[in-house]
Amino acid sequence: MKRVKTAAVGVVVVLGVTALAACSPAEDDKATVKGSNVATGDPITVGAMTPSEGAGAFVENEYGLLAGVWYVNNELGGINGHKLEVDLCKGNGSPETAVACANGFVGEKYPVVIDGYDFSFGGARPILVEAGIPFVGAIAGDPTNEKAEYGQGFYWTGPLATTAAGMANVWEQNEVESVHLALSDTPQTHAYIDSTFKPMAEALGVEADVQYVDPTKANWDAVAAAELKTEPDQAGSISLPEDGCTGLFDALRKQGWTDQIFVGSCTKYVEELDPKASANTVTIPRTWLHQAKEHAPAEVVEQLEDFQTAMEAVGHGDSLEARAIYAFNSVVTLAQILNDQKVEDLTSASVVAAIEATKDFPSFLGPKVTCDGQQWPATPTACSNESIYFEVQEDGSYKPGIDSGYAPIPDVVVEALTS
Amino acid sequence: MSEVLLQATGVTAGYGLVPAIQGIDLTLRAGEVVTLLGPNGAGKTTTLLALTGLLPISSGSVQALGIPVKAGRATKLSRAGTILVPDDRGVFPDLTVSEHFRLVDSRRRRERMARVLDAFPALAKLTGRRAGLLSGGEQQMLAIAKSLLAGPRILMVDEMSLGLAPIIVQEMLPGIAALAREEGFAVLLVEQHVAIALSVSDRALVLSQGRPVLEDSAAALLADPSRVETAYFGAVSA
Amino acid sequence: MSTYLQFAVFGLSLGVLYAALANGLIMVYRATGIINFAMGAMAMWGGYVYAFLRKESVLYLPVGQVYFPDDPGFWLSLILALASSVLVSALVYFLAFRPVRQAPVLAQVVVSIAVMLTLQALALIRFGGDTVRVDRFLAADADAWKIGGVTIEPQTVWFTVIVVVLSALLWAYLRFTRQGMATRAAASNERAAILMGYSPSRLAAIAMILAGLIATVAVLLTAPTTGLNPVSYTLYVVPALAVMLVAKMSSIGVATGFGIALGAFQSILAYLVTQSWWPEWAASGVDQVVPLMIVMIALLAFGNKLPARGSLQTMRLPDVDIPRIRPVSATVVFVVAAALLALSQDEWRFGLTTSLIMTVLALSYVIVTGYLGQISLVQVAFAGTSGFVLSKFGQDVGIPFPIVVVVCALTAVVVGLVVALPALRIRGAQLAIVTLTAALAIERFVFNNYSLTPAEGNNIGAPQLFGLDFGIRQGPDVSRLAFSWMVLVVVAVMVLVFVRVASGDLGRAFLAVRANERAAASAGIDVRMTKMTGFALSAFFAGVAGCLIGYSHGQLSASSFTVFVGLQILAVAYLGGITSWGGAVVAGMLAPLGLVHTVIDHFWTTGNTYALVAGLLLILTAILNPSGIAGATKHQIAFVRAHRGRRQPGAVAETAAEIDANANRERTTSV
Repeated sequence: MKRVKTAAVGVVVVLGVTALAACSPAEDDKATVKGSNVATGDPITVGAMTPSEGAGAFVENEYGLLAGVWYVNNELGGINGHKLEVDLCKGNGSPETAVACANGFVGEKYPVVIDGYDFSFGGARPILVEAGIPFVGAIAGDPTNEKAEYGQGFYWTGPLATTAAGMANVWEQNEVESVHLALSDTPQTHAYIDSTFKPMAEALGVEADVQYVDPTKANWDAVAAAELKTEPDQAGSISLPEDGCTGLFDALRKQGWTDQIFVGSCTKYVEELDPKASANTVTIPRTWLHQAKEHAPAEVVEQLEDFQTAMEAVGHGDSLEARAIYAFNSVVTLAQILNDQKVEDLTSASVVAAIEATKDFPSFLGPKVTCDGQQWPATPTACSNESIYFEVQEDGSYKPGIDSGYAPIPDVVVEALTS
Repeated sequence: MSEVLLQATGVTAGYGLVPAIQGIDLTLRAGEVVTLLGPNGAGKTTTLLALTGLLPISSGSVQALGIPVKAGRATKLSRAGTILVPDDRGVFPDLTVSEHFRLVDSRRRRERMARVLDAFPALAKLTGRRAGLLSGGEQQMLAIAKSLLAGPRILMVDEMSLGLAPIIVQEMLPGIAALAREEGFAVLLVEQHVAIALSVSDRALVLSQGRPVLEDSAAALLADPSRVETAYFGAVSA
Repeated sequence: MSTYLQFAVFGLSLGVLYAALANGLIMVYRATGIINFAMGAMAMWGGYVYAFLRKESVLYLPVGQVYFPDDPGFWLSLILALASSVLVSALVYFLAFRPVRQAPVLAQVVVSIAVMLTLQALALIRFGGDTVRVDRFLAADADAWKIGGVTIEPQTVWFTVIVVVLSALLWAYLRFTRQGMATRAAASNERAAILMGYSPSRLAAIAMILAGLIATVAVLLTAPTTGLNPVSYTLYVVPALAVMLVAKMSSIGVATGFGIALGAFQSILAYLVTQSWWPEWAASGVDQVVPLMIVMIALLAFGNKLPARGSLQTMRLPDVDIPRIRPVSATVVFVVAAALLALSQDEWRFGLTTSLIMTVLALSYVIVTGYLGQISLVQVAFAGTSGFVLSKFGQDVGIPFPIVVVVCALTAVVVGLVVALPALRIRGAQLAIVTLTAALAIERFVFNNYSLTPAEGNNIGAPQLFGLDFGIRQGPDVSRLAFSWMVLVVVAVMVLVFVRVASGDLGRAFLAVRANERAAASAGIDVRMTKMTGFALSAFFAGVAGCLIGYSHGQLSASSFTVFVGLQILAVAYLGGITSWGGAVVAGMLAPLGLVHTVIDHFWTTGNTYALVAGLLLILTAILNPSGIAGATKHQIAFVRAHRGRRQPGAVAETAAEIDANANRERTTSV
């Protein structure tokens, strides 16, 4: 009897502790702000997944997605008049959750699923592919999804490898002859280095050293020292998580490196480090960023302001980070394409057809989108081969390397990659 | 009559549902030496464990030094002065002799140290040796020495003679008994060597199959050894 | 040369952390006999408290928080962080370790693992999964020194000195103070320590608090270099365990020296990996392979000379009921299961099917832990290895189903035997250490290895037999009946194999080895062969499960087979009942993506709380009810049967006496 009592008390304690520990403040209210072009028709529902929970979560993806949905429904008039609803499944980094999400999406027969830059989305792919449901997004969080067959998925800003395009442009513009860069150690990064980065560097005559690290426990002082040992023109990272970037760049500056730092697509380091340290860094994000507002062309400024309005409308006006824009771009580009092609009856087939017919379509804060499967070697999901890069100024603002923003991949690199 | 230091009434204890001892009554007074006798399996060690709070008592009661004895109170009882030297001697193989002495937590330790080392001159030469490397006899000496160092008010010794040459036992036991009378603490001995134990005791209690079967003064039992023998085989004495 | 020295200096931050964690482990082990797998997780708590006090002016308690109006500043934050450490150590000791002080090693290891899982999950919920940066506070603005071509930051020297001094103080505590001596004494003879007036429990609590403090200080000192991350800090316990083994679980001096040396060595190794001559295939996860090799060498060298504890063991191992093959009820269960699968749809059928697959994985734990009594934390890595091989063989080599499943499972068996090698000489918690280290090494070195994983991922096609498609999905059908029934057949076969083994001589040999290896040997059982067979069998079961998981997902990801997933599966296996196939079925229901998980996910979300609840329930189960849910149910059934059958109070007592009489057999009565 005593055991039963102890057990009962124990269970109550367990549930209590869990409830207290896991209780988060109530979610923000639904947006009550209305825009200028409100959708009124019957709702259409699509699936979506964002990395909202677990280790390595980025909540701003979720916020950006919700803001994008608001924008579609309040400024674009929905999808051909229909209100867009999104069934958001919160990823937590485990493939199991992605599988469960995907099963749910297939069960509900959604015509399309949005990848909100979730790195566990690879778990969803086999299920969606088998069911014939396309997935779309600004960029693939799980690189294995980039290699899906033509028609199975589409990524508006192209594969991670388009960073290489940006890099090539940076090197050409800045006359860089040697680099030493760090990146996370995964099979996919190895593949990227071997199939894209190294050939490209060779084609451009740049001496390229690469350091693979485990970003959760790397000693950034050591990584920085290893980079500087080879005395490159440019040091930094190709692809690291945000905190890794911050740690590495801090270490580089502390070790006396004043030259240009390459930051891949990291953006948070600018807030964390002091302005002198983060100046003279080059970043290659997927889209225009909020920090580039003062150097951007007029139509981009308008889009940035629309983005901010939308984020404020859903109660996350303080989360104007890059990933939020990516998620925003994911859903808004989809809606814009469907509106542009006047797709009335939304099915997987009609969605795919509309996307495949897209050519040089300007995406929101993003590159021109052409989804013909030919944009990048061996990557049918790529809808772009352009990239954009920014140089961080002393005042923390971002100046685009090329004034107009996006530039295509240099021909010499295309040759190197396709030969 | 001197002060009662321990009073056990109708104590029954065992392992699980099987009682190993039943109906044990025992009184220990200051300055007294009492021996607990009986064949193997009679429950002598069980009695000691019950009296020191190392084994739960299922019925009956024990009061030692004014503290009701219950399982889980062994530490408290030890600190109050109920010292048990168990059958495994209770020494720590990795600690040296002097470290054992240091472990004794008693205010009067320093004063008593000289006296104890006097009583056990062999130990005085072994202060730096690890207990695990001592001989059986030396370990037993260490066990007794550190117990005495603690200034016990009730000293219980379980099978001191186990593994020791009788001559050593013959030397040590009278010394302990004399100390007990001098300092006024009670001693409870569990022993196999009937004669030696009775020779230093005031009273003896014989257990058989967990029950008390014979209790009398040591002198009376020494005078008629056959009574103890019969008691060992289970007969209840008159 | 100066380059190597330079990188050695860089490695001091991790080395100092290893040394402190190892010393903490040694303190806890010497005082309680328990190997504290949660050492890293406990230590990081104080670090997080400090970081969030400075960053957000919030004091995070395990439950609830206190808001400050402003940054409390360095000293107050430090004091509060250390106070948190004391609080966490005390809580862990009194709520988790103390109740199992007299329990068998199995229960102690399980509780220790459960605390590790719980604290990590709690940290994830409270502090988030991103790495938290901590600003330098030690000699933050001082310039680096340059000595002979090597740059040394003053803070490096400081934290090395601080940790060495603290370690020396710890050593002095154990060596010279009365409490420390008593702690050492209690380790070799607990009863004698009680008889000298010491409370081993109180000494143990003090030791745990001291251990927590030194570990927390080390985390605070080194966090500015790497940042705070709940996954990596929890797993730092693995190299610390290796250091502890080299120190023979008792020498603080050796642990300090070797820990620092290990950190320096790993850093030099990380530099060497960047050199062009380092082979590509050995580039990933090398830093995890090193602790594994150290552990295996240390155990092989002096595994059986490691100290054992002279404690008063009073708790029993979980009961084992020898199962029997009952054809009638088995058929009924089979038919009912098949019907349930046919009647369910989509996510429910998927959940049920996954539960069946997880039953096989749980069975591997039942064999190795419930029956053989060995603590193995690498079962899930076996499953992953097998699934991994399947993704290679299925596509590239084209071995047909179901032979390919057997082949892949046999690969897992080979790996299992290699891991089992050290186990043959050692037992108890040391095996838990080597399997945990192996699991981490496999995760990092194999699953994440570029040379083995193609860019498009590890895809697994649908199994086909005689032209019939047994794949899990087709078009919009995400959970085909053909696949589910195939899984049911495989599971039924595996359960039958299990019952056959468990009820036969081999099963009894397992149990004998579990109870007492020496006694088993003297009864004529070949202990070595029995252990190897048990490991191999459990690896085979895990391997089959791994293949089925691969088929059900369609592609394999290393994230499905991480160390933490393994701990969660161990938790549900223990919860369900580690000693019966019924327990494995319950475990399957509770496992991730299983039926219960699907139900909860459908109505609420599980999110990060799944691991937390699993950890907490595991602590409870290990302390209260070693037979798990299945065992408890069995007891209730027996109780009710006895009550209904004879309706006499005596009968109930009889049954209870029966149950408790078993307790007597393990106790040695003294006179």
